[in-house]
Amino acid sequence: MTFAVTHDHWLALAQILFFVGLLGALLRRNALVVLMSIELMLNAGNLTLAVYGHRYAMAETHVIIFFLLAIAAAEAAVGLALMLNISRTHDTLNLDAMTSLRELL
Amino acid sequence: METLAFILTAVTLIGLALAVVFARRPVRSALALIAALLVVASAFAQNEAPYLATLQVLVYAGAIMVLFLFVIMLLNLGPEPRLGLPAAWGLRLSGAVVAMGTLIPGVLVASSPVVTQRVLDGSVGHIGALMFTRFPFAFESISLILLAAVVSAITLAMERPV
Repeated sequence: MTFAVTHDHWLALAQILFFVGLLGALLRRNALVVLMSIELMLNAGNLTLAVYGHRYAMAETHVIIFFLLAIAAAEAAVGLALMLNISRTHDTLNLDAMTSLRELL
Repeated sequence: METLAFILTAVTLIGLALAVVFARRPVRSALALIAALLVVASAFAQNEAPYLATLQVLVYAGAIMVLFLFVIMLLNLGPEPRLGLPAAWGLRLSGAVVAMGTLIPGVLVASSPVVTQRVLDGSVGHIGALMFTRFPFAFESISLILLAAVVSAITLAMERPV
């Protein structure tokens, strides 16, 4: 435990977090869990911005993260309303069962 | 001390993220996600962003995750029979690995030293002043986006569409 923590360590942590979220978004079939994985990826992006803000001493990144939090709230509200709607019309949240747009082609 | 804090943050964050992805019950995923978001808040605090850490706890771990838990309760989701792997999961996995591999050069480039004279001021006052002097248009757009999101969420969740 003698190494000094640099910004690179934080960036690597954010990248690992993004990777885990990407795995969840690609490998899980439950739409709600996929939405949560996307939230993980969004947080990894926010963490990256905060680390760069610290590195270059720019508080502008904090303002951007503030806006991103608002956008995340909007995205979660719309996404969860979609989940309610889908479970009402399809009786499942399995992504493999949602093919009605594909069948239009 | 900083090193110890970073190692604790990293280990708990990665563990909780894996728990979100691999838990079989959606409720456990959501609870692990709440804990992970709190750890991200501590990461913000360690990067001298105390205001963002507060917002992360209030807005993300508070408001957004309550929405998630409400929906899980409304839908009454049980455990999945097994971790159902989707079709072509090997292709998806390798796609994720390749996508992350393309990001590694970015991290390596970032490791050059930075010389900056400024001091980061992450206080509420400074961020508020920046928000209303340099980003007023973005601030107003956010209010429009939130309004559109509220209207569309209500319309989508209604029993009978308008």
